[in-house]
Amino acid sequence: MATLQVFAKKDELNRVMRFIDCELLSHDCPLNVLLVVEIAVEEIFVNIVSYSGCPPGETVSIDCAFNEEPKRITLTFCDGGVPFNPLMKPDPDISLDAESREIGGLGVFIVKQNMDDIAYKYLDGKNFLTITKHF
Amino acid sequence: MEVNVVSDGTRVTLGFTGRIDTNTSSKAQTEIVAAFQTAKEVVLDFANVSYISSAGLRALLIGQKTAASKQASMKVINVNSMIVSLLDSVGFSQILTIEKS
Repeated sequence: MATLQVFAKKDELNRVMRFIDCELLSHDCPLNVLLVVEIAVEEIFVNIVSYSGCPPGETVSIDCAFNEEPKRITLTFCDGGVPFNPLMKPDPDISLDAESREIGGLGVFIVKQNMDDIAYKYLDGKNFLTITKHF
Repeated sequence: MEVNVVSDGTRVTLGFTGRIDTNTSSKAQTEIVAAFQTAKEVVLDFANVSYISSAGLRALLIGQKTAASKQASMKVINVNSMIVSLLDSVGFSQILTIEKS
């Protein structure tokens, strides 16, 4: 298992992505899975930075673990902000036309659609969000 | 992320290079909306786009809404198959004009 700790700031995103890419590519993750995992990680990280009330000097940790049989990646985001689940947003209505479509909610929807398992808990003053993707 | 702007009469082609993510999507959106100031046809060339996140998808949706409000057209060309799948999964294939690469 590998862990990355970054400050709760949007400009840490590139560092987070490099960490995820490195981990996934070293486990022969196909590119189409890499893309959806990256999108999920960006969405979750940005939501934590924006909404969990973590001051910029605080850190968010991302644990990355792999299972071989079946092959899967499990990512756990941990932050010390207010109790906040970054994925609690209603799904957008994707049948609407361009004029009627709402601007927000897509990122969370993509995470829910593409990840195989999502779990959230608040424990000992920390948020824990875990996502799992088979590949 | 870089944006290359080519103007050809009433058509503007924006060539995007790199990643359209939370840090670069506002630049993408600004360029797309600005193109509609002068163009009736805006083409977004995604040949060199390696990644697009939900922030980038929002910029595309805003572009499409801008096109509609100005009776103009927008299309996204040279979209790789992974991004096409993503666009399909959020219903964007029905509301954007997309040409695969």
